Amino acid sequence: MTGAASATDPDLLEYFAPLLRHLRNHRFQLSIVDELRVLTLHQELRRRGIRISDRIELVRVIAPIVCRSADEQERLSDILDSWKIVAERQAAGVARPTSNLQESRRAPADESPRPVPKVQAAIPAQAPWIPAPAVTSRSSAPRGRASNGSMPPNRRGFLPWVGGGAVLALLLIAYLLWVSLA
Amino acid sequence: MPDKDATQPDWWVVPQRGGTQGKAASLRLPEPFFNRYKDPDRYDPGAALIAAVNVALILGQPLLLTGEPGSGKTRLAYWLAAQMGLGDPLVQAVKSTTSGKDLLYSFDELARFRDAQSGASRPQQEYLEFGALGRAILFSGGRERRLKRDAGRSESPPTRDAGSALDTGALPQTHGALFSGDFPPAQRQVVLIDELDKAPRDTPNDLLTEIEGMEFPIPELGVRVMGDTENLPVVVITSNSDKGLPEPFLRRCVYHHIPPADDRRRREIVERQQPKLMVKESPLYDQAMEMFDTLHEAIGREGRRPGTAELLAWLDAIDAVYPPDCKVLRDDKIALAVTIKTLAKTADDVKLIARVLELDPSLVGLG
Repeated sequence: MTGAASATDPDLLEYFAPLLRHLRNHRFQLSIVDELRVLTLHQELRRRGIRISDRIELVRVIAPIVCRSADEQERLSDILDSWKIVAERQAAGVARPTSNLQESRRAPADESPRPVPKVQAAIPAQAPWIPAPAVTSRSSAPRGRASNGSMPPNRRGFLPWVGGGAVLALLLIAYLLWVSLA
Repeated sequence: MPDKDATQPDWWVVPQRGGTQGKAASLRLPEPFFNRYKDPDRYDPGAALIAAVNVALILGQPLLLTGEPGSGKTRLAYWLAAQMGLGDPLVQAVKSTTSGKDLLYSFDELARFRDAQSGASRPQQEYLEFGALGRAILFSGGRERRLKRDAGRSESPPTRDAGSALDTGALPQTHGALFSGDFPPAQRQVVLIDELDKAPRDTPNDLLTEIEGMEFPIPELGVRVMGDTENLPVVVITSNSDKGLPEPFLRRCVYHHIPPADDRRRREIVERQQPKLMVKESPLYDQAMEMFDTLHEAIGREGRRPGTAELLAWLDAIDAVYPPDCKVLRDDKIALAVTIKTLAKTADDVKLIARVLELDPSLVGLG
Protein backbone atom coordinates (compact mmCIF):
# COMPACT_ATOMS: atom_id res chain seq x y z
CA MET A 1 0.00 0.00 0.00
CA THR A 2 1.49 3.27 -0.96
CA GLY A 3 1.85 6.04 1.45
CA ALA A 4 4.23 8.07 -0.65
CA ALA A 5 1.69 10.60 -1.88
CA SER A 6 2.45 14.16 -0.93
CA ALA A 7 0.19 16.11 1.36
CA THR A 8 -1.09 18.18 -1.52
CA ASP A 9 -2.28 15.17 -3.51
CA PRO A 10 -5.98 14.51 -3.16
CA ASP A 11 -7.01 11.57 -1.05
CA LEU A 12 -9.41 9.74 -3.34
CA LEU A 13 -10.94 7.84 -0.44
CA GLU A 14 -12.34 11.15 0.82
CA TYR A 15 -14.83 10.82 -2.02
CA PHE A 16 -15.86 7.26 -1.36
CA ALA A 17 -19.52 8.19 -0.99
CA PRO A 18 -20.08 9.31 -4.59
CA LEU A 19 -17.81 6.47 -5.64
CA LEU A 20 -20.02 3.90 -3.95
CA ARG A 21 -23.08 5.50 -5.48
CA HIS A 22 -21.44 5.22 -8.86
CA LEU A 23 -20.74 1.54 -8.21
CA ARG A 24 -24.34 0.93 -7.19
CA ASN A 25 -25.38 2.36 -10.51
CA HIS A 26 -23.18 -0.30 -12.08
CA ARG A 27 -25.06 -3.12 -10.30
CA PHE A 28 -22.70 -3.50 -7.35
CA GLN A 29 -24.80 -4.71 -4.40
CA LEU A 30 -23.45 -2.59 -1.57
CA SER A 31 -24.96 -2.41 1.87
CA ILE A 32 -24.61 0.11 4.65
CA VAL A 33 -22.10 -2.28 6.21
CA ASP A 34 -19.93 -2.01 3.13
CA GLU A 35 -19.99 1.77 3.48
CA LEU A 36 -18.96 1.44 7.10
CA ARG A 37 -16.16 -0.88 6.09
CA VAL A 38 -14.85 1.64 3.57
CA LEU A 39 -15.22 4.39 6.14
CA THR A 40 -13.30 2.33 8.72
CA LEU A 41 -10.57 1.65 6.21
CA HIS A 42 -10.36 5.30 5.28
CA GLN A 43 -10.14 6.41 8.89
CA GLU A 44 -7.45 3.88 9.65
CA LEU A 45 -5.39 4.85 6.61
CA ARG A 46 -5.76 8.52 7.48
CA ARG A 47 -4.69 7.79 11.04
CA ARG A 48 -1.57 6.21 9.62
CA GLY A 49 -0.99 9.17 7.33
CA ILE A 50 -1.64 7.17 4.17
CA ARG A 51 -3.35 8.92 1.30
CA ILE A 52 -4.71 7.06 -1.69
CA SER A 53 -3.95 9.45 -4.47
CA ASP A 54 -3.53 7.05 -7.35
CA ARG A 55 -6.48 5.50 -9.14
CA ILE A 56 -4.76 2.10 -9.40
CA GLU A 57 -4.16 2.13 -5.67
CA LEU A 58 -7.77 3.13 -5.11
CA VAL A 59 -8.90 0.08 -7.05
CA ARG A 60 -6.62 -2.12 -4.95
CA VAL A 61 -7.97 -0.94 -1.61
CA ILE A 62 -11.63 -0.67 -2.63
CA ALA A 63 -11.91 -3.93 -4.58
CA PRO A 64 -11.54 -6.30 -1.60
CA ILE A 65 -14.51 -4.59 0.05
CA VAL A 66 -16.90 -3.87 -2.78
CA CYS A 67 -16.31 -6.91 -5.01
CA ARG A 68 -17.90 -10.29 -4.40
CA SER A 69 -16.88 -12.08 -7.57
CA ALA A 70 -14.13 -12.30 -10.13
CA ASP A 71 -16.39 -10.57 -12.60
CA GLU A 72 -16.93 -7.55 -10.36
CA GLN A 73 -13.22 -7.34 -9.65
CA GLU A 74 -12.46 -7.37 -13.34
CA ARG A 75 -15.07 -4.70 -14.10
CA LEU A 76 -14.08 -2.40 -11.25
CA SER A 77 -11.10 -0.82 -12.92
CA ASP A 78 -13.08 0.07 -16.02
CA ILE A 79 -15.92 1.46 -13.95
CA LEU A 80 -13.55 3.71 -12.08
CA ASP A 81 -12.17 4.89 -15.38
CA SER A 82 -15.56 6.38 -16.07
CA TRP A 83 -15.71 8.00 -12.69
CA LYS A 84 -14.86 11.61 -13.29
CA ILE A 85 -16.74 13.23 -10.50
CA VAL A 86 -13.86 13.35 -8.09
CA ALA A 87 -11.53 15.12 -10.43
CA GLU A 88 -14.23 17.51 -11.53
CA ARG A 89 -15.26 18.37 -8.02
CA GLN A 90 -11.71 18.97 -7.03
CA ALA A 91 -11.07 21.04 -10.09
CA ALA A 92 -13.98 23.24 -9.09
CA GLY A 93 -12.84 23.33 -5.46
CA VAL A 94 -16.12 22.04 -4.10
CA ALA A 95 -16.06 21.26 -0.42
CA ARG A 96 -16.38 17.58 0.37
CA PRO A 97 -19.62 16.44 1.94
CA THR A 98 -19.83 16.96 5.66
CA SER A 99 -21.01 13.41 6.07
CA ASN A 100 -19.85 10.84 3.61
CA LEU A 101 -22.40 8.41 4.92
CA GLN A 102 -25.30 10.78 4.37
CA GLU A 103 -23.96 11.68 0.97
CA SER A 104 -23.68 8.06 -0.06
CA ARG A 105 -27.25 7.27 0.88
CA ARG A 106 -28.82 9.86 -1.35
CA ALA A 107 -30.97 8.57 -4.15
CA PRO A 108 -28.86 7.16 -7.02
CA ALA A 109 -27.49 9.92 -9.13
CA ASP A 110 -27.34 10.29 -12.84
CA GLU A 111 -24.85 7.90 -14.45
CA SER A 112 -23.02 10.24 -16.70
CA PRO A 113 -20.48 12.64 -15.34
CA ARG A 114 -22.30 15.92 -14.90
CA PRO A 115 -21.01 19.41 -15.31
CA VAL A 116 -19.50 20.53 -12.08
CA PRO A 117 -22.00 22.67 -10.21
CA LYS A 118 -21.00 26.13 -9.13
CA VAL A 119 -19.70 26.25 -5.62
CA GLN A 120 -22.62 28.27 -4.34
CA ALA A 121 -25.11 25.90 -5.91
CA ALA A 122 -23.47 22.85 -4.41
CA ILE A 123 -23.17 24.12 -0.87
CA PRO A 124 -26.84 24.41 0.15
CA ALA A 125 -27.69 21.78 2.67
CA GLN A 126 -29.05 18.67 1.07
CA ALA A 127 -31.91 16.89 2.68
CA PRO A 128 -30.60 13.87 4.50
CA TRP A 129 -31.82 10.50 3.34
CA ILE A 130 -33.52 9.83 6.67
CA PRO A 131 -35.04 13.09 7.96
CA ALA A 132 -34.37 13.88 11.57
CA PRO A 133 -37.51 13.23 13.63
CA ALA A 134 -39.37 16.37 14.70
CA VAL A 135 -38.84 17.20 18.36
CA THR A 136 -42.31 17.32 19.83
CA SER A 137 -43.45 16.84 23.38
CA ARG A 138 -46.72 15.12 24.18
CA SER A 139 -47.30 17.43 27.12
CA SER A 140 -46.79 20.62 25.17
CA ALA A 141 -48.65 19.79 22.00
CA PRO A 142 -51.92 18.05 21.35
CA ARG A 143 -51.54 14.57 19.91
CA GLY A 144 -51.27 14.63 16.17
CA ARG A 145 -50.57 18.32 15.98
CA ALA A 146 -47.34 20.19 16.09
CA SER A 147 -46.78 22.82 18.73
CA ASN A 148 -47.73 25.56 16.32
CA GLY A 149 -51.07 23.90 15.84
CA SER A 150 -50.50 22.85 12.27
CA MET A 151 -50.97 19.26 11.25
CA PRO A 152 -47.86 17.17 10.74
CA PRO A 153 -47.23 16.47 7.06
CA ASN A 154 -48.06 12.80 7.30
CA ARG A 155 -51.46 13.51 8.90
CA ARG A 156 -52.53 16.38 6.74
CA GLY A 157 -55.78 15.64 4.94
CA PHE A 158 -56.68 12.83 7.28
CA LEU A 159 -59.56 14.52 9.18
CA PRO A 160 -61.40 15.86 6.11
CA TRP A 161 -61.43 12.35 4.70
CA VAL A 162 -62.73 10.95 8.01
CA GLY A 163 -65.35 13.74 8.16
CA GLY A 164 -66.60 12.86 4.67
CA GLY A 165 -66.83 9.21 5.61
CA ALA A 166 -68.84 10.00 8.71
CA VAL A 167 -71.36 12.05 6.73
CA LEU A 168 -71.78 9.23 4.23
CA ALA A 169 -72.28 6.74 7.05
CA LEU A 170 -74.97 8.89 8.65
CA LEU A 171 -76.77 9.22 5.32
CA LEU A 172 -76.63 5.46 4.84
CA ILE A 173 -78.07 4.80 8.30
CA ALA A 174 -80.87 7.34 7.68
CA TYR A 175 -81.68 5.67 4.36
CA LEU A 176 -81.81 2.21 5.96
CA LEU A 177 -84.09 3.49 8.74
CA TRP A 178 -86.36 5.12 6.18
CA VAL A 179 -86.50 1.93 4.13
CA SER A 180 -87.24 -0.23 7.17
CA LEU A 181 -89.96 2.12 8.41
CA ALA A 182 -91.50 2.38 5.01
CA MET B 1 21.41 -47.34 -10.90
CA PRO B 2 22.95 -50.80 -11.38
CA ASP B 3 19.74 -52.68 -12.23
CA LYS B 4 18.83 -50.79 -15.35
CA ASP B 5 17.85 -52.32 -18.60
CA ALA B 6 20.07 -51.17 -21.46
CA THR B 7 17.02 -49.93 -23.37
CA GLN B 8 15.73 -47.95 -20.42
CA PRO B 9 16.06 -44.16 -20.57
CA ASP B 10 18.60 -42.66 -18.20
CA TRP B 11 16.07 -40.70 -16.23
CA TRP B 12 13.86 -43.65 -15.26
CA VAL B 13 13.97 -44.30 -11.55
CA VAL B 14 11.72 -47.34 -11.14
CA PRO B 15 13.99 -50.36 -10.48
CA GLN B 16 13.74 -53.36 -12.77
CA ARG B 17 12.08 -56.47 -11.43
CA GLY B 18 14.45 -59.17 -10.37
CA GLY B 19 17.36 -56.79 -10.06
CA THR B 20 19.95 -57.20 -7.37
CA GLN B 21 18.44 -54.31 -5.44
CA GLY B 22 15.28 -56.26 -4.80
CA LYS B 23 11.90 -54.89 -3.92
CA ALA B 24 12.96 -53.82 -0.47
CA ALA B 25 15.79 -51.66 -1.76
CA SER B 26 15.39 -48.04 -0.84
CA LEU B 27 14.59 -45.92 -3.82
CA ARG B 28 16.38 -42.62 -3.93
CA LEU B 29 13.98 -40.05 -5.21
CA PRO B 30 14.30 -36.31 -5.54
CA GLU B 31 12.45 -34.04 -3.16
CA PRO B 32 8.72 -34.14 -3.93
CA PHE B 33 7.55 -31.35 -6.18
CA PHE B 34 5.04 -29.99 -3.68
CA ASN B 35 7.83 -29.47 -1.15
CA ARG B 36 10.17 -27.79 -3.57
CA TYR B 37 8.30 -24.52 -3.90
CA LYS B 38 7.10 -24.06 -0.34
CA ASP B 39 9.56 -21.40 0.75
CA PRO B 40 7.43 -18.40 1.71
CA ASP B 41 10.32 -16.07 0.92
CA ARG B 42 10.01 -17.01 -2.73
CA TYR B 43 6.28 -16.45 -2.89
CA ASP B 44 5.29 -13.34 -4.78
CA PRO B 45 1.72 -12.30 -3.97
CA GLY B 46 1.71 -9.20 -6.13
CA ALA B 47 0.59 -5.70 -5.17
CA ALA B 48 -3.16 -6.28 -5.50
CA LEU B 49 -3.14 -9.31 -3.22
CA ILE B 50 -0.95 -7.56 -0.67
CA ALA B 51 -3.42 -4.67 -0.65
CA ALA B 52 -6.27 -7.13 -0.02
CA VAL B 53 -4.32 -8.69 2.85
CA ASN B 54 -3.82 -5.25 4.38
CA VAL B 55 -7.51 -4.44 4.05
CA ALA B 56 -8.39 -7.74 5.75
CA LEU B 57 -5.98 -7.00 8.61
CA ILE B 58 -7.28 -3.47 9.07
CA LEU B 59 -10.91 -4.57 9.10
CA GLY B 60 -10.24 -7.73 11.11
CA GLN B 61 -12.22 -9.81 8.63
CA PRO B 62 -11.38 -13.11 6.94
CA LEU B 63 -9.73 -12.92 3.54
CA LEU B 64 -11.54 -15.00 0.95
CA LEU B 65 -9.36 -15.96 -1.99
CA THR B 66 -10.64 -17.44 -5.20
CA GLY B 67 -8.74 -18.40 -8.31
CA GLU B 68 -7.83 -21.28 -10.52
CA PRO B 69 -6.07 -24.27 -8.96
CA GLY B 70 -2.35 -23.60 -8.80
CA SER B 71 -2.73 -19.84 -8.68
CA GLY B 72 -1.15 -19.56 -5.22
CA LYS B 73 -4.18 -19.21 -2.94
CA THR B 74 -2.97 -21.69 -0.35
CA ARG B 75 0.60 -20.44 -0.39
CA LEU B 76 -0.60 -16.98 0.55
CA ALA B 77 -1.42 -18.19 4.07
CA TYR B 78 2.09 -19.56 4.53
CA TRP B 79 3.58 -16.34 3.21
CA LEU B 80 1.40 -14.25 5.50
CA ALA B 81 2.21 -16.35 8.57
CA ALA B 82 5.91 -16.00 7.78
CA GLN B 83 5.57 -12.25 7.24
CA MET B 84 3.89 -11.92 10.64
CA GLY B 85 6.47 -14.13 12.33
CA LEU B 86 3.86 -16.68 13.33
CA GLY B 87 5.42 -19.87 11.97
CA ASP B 88 3.15 -22.08 9.93
CA PRO B 89 -0.57 -21.43 9.65
CA LEU B 90 -3.11 -23.72 11.25
CA VAL B 91 -4.59 -25.57 8.29
CA GLN B 92 -8.05 -27.02 7.85
CA ALA B 93 -8.57 -28.94 4.63
CA VAL B 94 -12.30 -28.79 4.03
CA LYS B 95 -14.17 -31.91 2.91
CA SER B 96 -17.68 -32.34 1.61
CA THR B 97 -18.79 -33.38 5.09
CA THR B 98 -17.05 -30.63 7.06
CA SER B 99 -19.48 -28.81 9.30
CA GLY B 100 -19.02 -25.57 11.19
CA LYS B 101 -18.42 -27.60 14.34
CA ASP B 102 -15.66 -29.63 12.68
CA LEU B 103 -13.71 -26.41 12.13
CA LEU B 104 -13.72 -25.98 15.90
CA TYR B 105 -13.47 -29.48 17.31
CA SER B 106 -14.68 -33.04 17.00
CA PHE B 107 -15.43 -35.44 19.82
CA ASP B 108 -14.77 -39.12 19.23
CA GLU B 109 -17.98 -40.55 20.66
CA LEU B 110 -17.26 -43.95 19.19
CA ALA B 111 -13.91 -44.30 20.96
CA ARG B 112 -15.45 -43.09 24.20
CA PHE B 113 -18.23 -45.64 23.93
CA ARG B 114 -15.76 -48.40 23.13
CA ASP B 115 -13.66 -47.45 26.15
CA ALA B 116 -16.72 -47.32 28.34
CA GLN B 117 -17.68 -50.83 27.25
CA SER B 118 -14.24 -52.23 27.90
CA GLY B 119 -13.94 -50.52 31.25
CA ALA B 120 -10.99 -48.40 30.16
CA SER B 121 -11.57 -44.87 31.28
CA ARG B 122 -9.74 -41.86 30.05
CA PRO B 123 -10.28 -38.17 30.75
CA GLN B 124 -12.98 -36.83 28.47
CA GLN B 125 -10.71 -34.23 26.89
CA GLU B 126 -8.64 -37.02 25.37
CA TYR B 127 -11.50 -37.71 22.97
CA LEU B 128 -11.36 -34.14 21.74
CA GLU B 129 -9.63 -33.13 18.55
CA PHE B 130 -9.50 -29.47 17.68
CA GLY B 131 -9.93 -28.09 14.20
CA ALA B 132 -7.77 -25.25 12.93
CA LEU B 133 -10.18 -22.52 13.97
CA GLY B 134 -10.80 -24.15 17.33
CA ARG B 135 -7.07 -24.28 18.01
CA ALA B 136 -6.66 -20.64 17.02
CA ILE B 137 -9.36 -19.60 19.50
CA LEU B 138 -8.00 -21.94 22.17
CA PHE B 139 -4.42 -20.71 21.73
CA SER B 140 -5.43 -17.05 21.63
CA GLY B 141 -5.99 -16.99 25.38
CA GLY B 142 -2.94 -18.93 26.46
CA ARG B 143 -2.53 -22.12 28.45
CA GLU B 144 -3.67 -20.71 31.78
CA ARG B 145 -6.86 -19.07 30.57
CA ARG B 146 -9.81 -20.48 32.44
CA LEU B 147 -12.64 -22.29 30.73
CA LYS B 148 -16.13 -21.09 31.38
CA ARG B 149 -18.68 -23.51 32.80
CA ASP B 150 -21.50 -23.64 30.36
CA ALA B 151 -24.96 -22.52 31.49
CA GLY B 152 -27.06 -25.30 32.94
CA ARG B 153 -24.10 -27.30 34.14
CA SER B 154 -23.57 -27.93 37.79
CA GLU B 155 -20.54 -26.43 39.51
CA SER B 156 -20.20 -29.60 41.54
CA PRO B 157 -17.97 -32.40 40.24
CA PRO B 158 -19.73 -34.56 37.68
CA THR B 159 -21.10 -37.90 38.68
CA ARG B 160 -19.57 -41.04 37.31
CA ASP B 161 -22.40 -41.99 35.06
CA ALA B 162 -21.33 -44.43 32.37
CA GLY B 163 -23.84 -43.05 29.91
CA SER B 164 -22.74 -39.49 30.35
CA ALA B 165 -19.92 -37.67 28.65
CA LEU B 166 -18.88 -36.50 32.08
CA ASP B 167 -18.12 -39.91 33.42
CA THR B 168 -14.43 -39.66 34.03
CA GLY B 169 -12.47 -37.49 36.38
CA ALA B 170 -12.73 -33.79 37.05
CA LEU B 171 -13.69 -31.31 34.42
CA PRO B 172 -10.81 -29.45 32.81
CA GLN B 173 -10.34 -25.98 34.22
CA THR B 174 -8.02 -24.24 31.78
CA HIS B 175 -7.37 -24.08 28.05
CA GLY B 176 -4.13 -25.95 28.57
CA ALA B 177 -5.98 -28.93 30.03
CA LEU B 178 -7.87 -29.41 26.77
CA PHE B 179 -4.84 -29.72 24.53
CA SER B 180 -2.26 -32.44 24.93
CA GLY B 181 0.27 -31.14 22.40
CA ASP B 182 2.66 -28.22 22.69
CA PHE B 183 0.58 -25.26 23.74
CA PRO B 184 2.01 -22.11 22.18
CA PRO B 185 2.12 -18.80 24.04
CA ALA B 186 -0.97 -16.65 23.81
CA GLN B 187 -0.76 -15.07 20.42
CA ARG B 188 -2.55 -14.49 17.17
CA GLN B 189 -2.60 -17.36 14.67
CA VAL B 190 -2.97 -17.49 10.92
CA VAL B 191 -5.71 -19.97 10.02
CA LEU B 192 -5.99 -21.43 6.54
CA ILE B 193 -9.36 -22.90 5.64
CA ASP B 194 -8.68 -24.55 2.34
CA GLU B 195 -11.28 -25.09 -0.38
CA LEU B 196 -14.34 -23.99 1.53
CA ASP B 197 -16.48 -24.42 -1.59
CA LYS B 198 -16.43 -28.17 -0.90
CA ALA B 199 -18.29 -27.75 2.39
CA PRO B 200 -22.06 -27.95 2.91
CA ARG B 201 -23.86 -24.67 2.38
CA ASP B 202 -24.31 -23.74 6.06
CA THR B 203 -20.67 -24.20 6.99
CA PRO B 204 -19.39 -20.79 5.79
CA ASN B 205 -21.90 -18.83 7.86
CA ASP B 206 -21.23 -20.99 10.93
CA LEU B 207 -17.56 -20.32 10.50
CA LEU B 208 -17.94 -16.55 10.62
CA THR B 209 -20.15 -16.70 13.68
CA GLU B 210 -17.44 -18.52 15.61
CA ILE B 211 -14.67 -16.20 14.40
CA GLU B 212 -16.56 -13.09 15.38
CA GLY B 213 -17.63 -14.54 18.73
CA MET B 214 -14.16 -15.90 19.60
CA GLU B 215 -15.74 -18.52 21.83
CA PHE B 216 -17.42 -21.83 21.41
CA PRO B 217 -19.03 -24.43 23.66
CA ILE B 218 -18.00 -28.02 24.09
CA PRO B 219 -21.26 -29.53 25.34
CA GLU B 220 -19.65 -32.94 25.80
CA LEU B 221 -17.55 -31.45 28.59
CA GLY B 222 -19.95 -28.76 29.71
CA VAL B 223 -17.38 -26.03 29.16
CA ARG B 224 -16.95 -23.07 26.89
CA VAL B 225 -13.64 -22.03 25.34
CA MET B 226 -13.23 -18.28 25.69
CA GLY B 227 -10.70 -16.86 23.25
CA ASP B 228 -8.94 -13.56 23.67
CA THR B 229 -10.34 -11.01 21.22
CA GLU B 230 -7.00 -9.19 21.33
CA ASN B 231 -5.56 -12.16 19.46
CA LEU B 232 -8.24 -12.51 16.82
CA PRO B 233 -6.93 -15.03 14.28
CA VAL B 234 -6.06 -13.94 10.78
CA VAL B 235 -8.24 -16.20 8.67
CA VAL B 236 -7.47 -16.99 5.05
CA ILE B 237 -10.19 -18.90 3.24
CA THR B 238 -9.64 -20.34 -0.20
CA SER B 239 -12.22 -21.42 -2.71
CA ASN B 240 -11.88 -22.55 -6.28
CA SER B 241 -14.92 -20.52 -7.15
CA ASP B 242 -17.06 -17.75 -5.70
CA LYS B 243 -20.12 -19.62 -6.92
CA GLY B 244 -22.07 -21.45 -4.28
CA LEU B 245 -20.84 -19.36 -1.37
CA PRO B 246 -23.76 -17.68 0.38
CA GLU B 247 -24.19 -13.96 -0.09
CA PRO B 248 -24.21 -13.15 3.66
CA PHE B 249 -20.88 -14.92 3.95
CA LEU B 250 -19.39 -12.97 1.05
CA ARG B 251 -20.53 -9.74 2.66
CA ARG B 252 -18.59 -10.51 5.81
CA CYS B 253 -15.32 -11.31 4.09
CA VAL B 254 -12.65 -9.32 2.35
CA TYR B 255 -12.53 -10.74 -1.15
CA HIS B 256 -9.79 -11.16 -3.70
CA HIS B 257 -9.74 -13.16 -6.89
CA ILE B 258 -6.29 -14.16 -8.12
CA PRO B 259 -6.61 -13.78 -11.86
CA PRO B 260 -4.68 -16.04 -14.23
CA ALA B 261 -1.18 -14.61 -14.59
CA ASP B 262 -0.35 -12.98 -17.90
CA ASP B 263 2.95 -13.78 -19.60
CA ARG B 264 4.90 -11.04 -17.83
CA ARG B 265 3.52 -11.78 -14.39
CA ARG B 266 4.05 -15.50 -14.88
CA ARG B 267 7.72 -14.90 -15.57
CA GLU B 268 8.02 -12.80 -12.43
CA ILE B 269 6.49 -15.56 -10.32
CA VAL B 270 8.62 -18.30 -11.85
CA GLU B 271 11.85 -16.33 -11.58
CA ARG B 272 11.13 -15.68 -7.92
CA GLN B 273 10.79 -19.43 -7.38
CA GLN B 274 14.12 -20.12 -9.08
CA PRO B 275 13.45 -23.49 -10.71
CA LYS B 276 16.53 -25.62 -11.31
CA LEU B 277 16.36 -25.15 -15.05
CA MET B 278 16.65 -21.39 -14.64
CA VAL B 279 19.38 -21.59 -12.01
CA LYS B 280 21.43 -23.79 -14.35
CA GLU B 281 20.99 -21.12 -17.06
CA SER B 282 19.82 -23.80 -19.45
CA PRO B 283 18.77 -22.58 -22.89
CA LEU B 284 15.74 -24.82 -22.48
CA TYR B 285 14.35 -22.48 -19.84
CA ASP B 286 13.53 -19.58 -22.14
CA GLN B 287 12.23 -21.93 -24.81
CA ALA B 288 9.98 -23.63 -22.29
CA MET B 289 8.60 -20.31 -21.06
CA GLU B 290 7.78 -19.22 -24.59
CA MET B 291 6.25 -22.58 -25.42
CA PHE B 292 4.14 -22.39 -22.29
CA ASP B 293 2.82 -18.96 -23.30
CA THR B 294 1.70 -20.46 -26.60
CA LEU B 295 0.13 -23.50 -24.97
CA HIS B 296 -1.51 -21.46 -22.25
CA GLU B 297 -3.28 -19.37 -24.83
CA ALA B 298 -4.18 -22.33 -27.04
CA ILE B 299 -5.52 -24.45 -24.19
CA GLY B 300 -7.25 -21.46 -22.63
CA ARG B 301 -9.32 -21.00 -25.76
CA GLU B 302 -10.67 -24.53 -25.65
CA GLY B 303 -10.23 -25.92 -22.17
CA ARG B 304 -8.64 -25.64 -18.77
CA ARG B 305 -5.55 -23.47 -18.74
CA PRO B 306 -2.57 -24.90 -16.88
CA GLY B 307 -1.63 -22.90 -13.79
CA THR B 308 1.68 -21.53 -12.64
CA ALA B 309 2.23 -24.50 -10.33
CA GLU B 310 1.92 -26.81 -13.32
CA LEU B 311 4.42 -24.70 -15.23
CA LEU B 312 6.91 -25.11 -12.37
CA ALA B 313 6.27 -28.86 -12.43
CA TRP B 314 6.91 -28.91 -16.17
CA LEU B 315 10.18 -27.00 -15.80
CA ASP B 316 11.33 -29.51 -13.19
CA ALA B 317 10.29 -32.38 -15.44
CA ILE B 318 12.30 -30.92 -18.31
CA ASP B 319 15.29 -30.64 -16.03
CA ALA B 320 14.91 -34.28 -14.99
CA VAL B 321 14.10 -35.86 -18.34
CA TYR B 322 16.03 -34.00 -21.02
CA PRO B 323 19.64 -35.04 -21.63
CA PRO B 324 22.03 -32.42 -20.23
CA ASP B 325 23.50 -31.70 -23.65
CA CYS B 326 20.16 -30.96 -25.32
CA LYS B 327 19.98 -27.31 -26.35
CA VAL B 328 16.68 -27.19 -28.22
CA LEU B 329 13.44 -28.21 -26.56
CA ARG B 330 11.77 -29.42 -29.74
CA ASP B 331 14.74 -31.56 -30.78
CA ASP B 332 13.88 -34.34 -28.35
CA LYS B 333 10.31 -35.14 -29.27
CA ILE B 334 10.07 -38.09 -26.92
CA ALA B 335 11.20 -36.07 -23.92
CA LEU B 336 8.84 -33.29 -24.93
CA ALA B 337 5.92 -35.71 -25.19
CA VAL B 338 6.76 -37.18 -21.80
CA THR B 339 7.16 -33.91 -19.95
CA ILE B 340 4.18 -32.18 -21.49
CA LYS B 341 1.92 -34.47 -19.50
CA THR B 342 2.52 -32.27 -16.49
CA LEU B 343 0.43 -29.66 -18.32
CA ALA B 344 -2.13 -31.77 -20.13
CA LYS B 345 -4.58 -33.33 -17.70
CA THR B 346 -7.31 -34.57 -20.00
CA ALA B 347 -7.42 -36.47 -23.25
CA ASP B 348 -8.62 -33.31 -24.98
CA ASP B 349 -5.69 -31.35 -23.57
CA VAL B 350 -3.26 -33.99 -24.83
CA LYS B 351 -4.78 -33.89 -28.31
CA LEU B 352 -4.70 -30.13 -28.36
CA ILE B 353 -1.09 -29.91 -27.23
CA ALA B 354 -0.01 -32.59 -29.70
CA ARG B 355 -1.67 -30.56 -32.45
CA VAL B 356 -0.16 -27.22 -31.39
CA LEU B 357 3.33 -28.67 -30.98
CA GLU B 358 2.99 -30.87 -34.06
CA LEU B 359 3.86 -33.98 -32.08
CA ASP B 360 3.28 -37.46 -33.39
CA PRO B 361 0.08 -38.62 -31.62
CA SER B 362 1.66 -41.98 -30.85
CA LEU B 363 4.30 -40.24 -28.74
CA VAL B 364 1.66 -38.85 -26.40
CA GLY B 365 -0.27 -42.10 -26.22
CA LEU B 366 -2.90 -41.22 -28.81
CA GLY B 367 -1.77 -43.44 -31.64
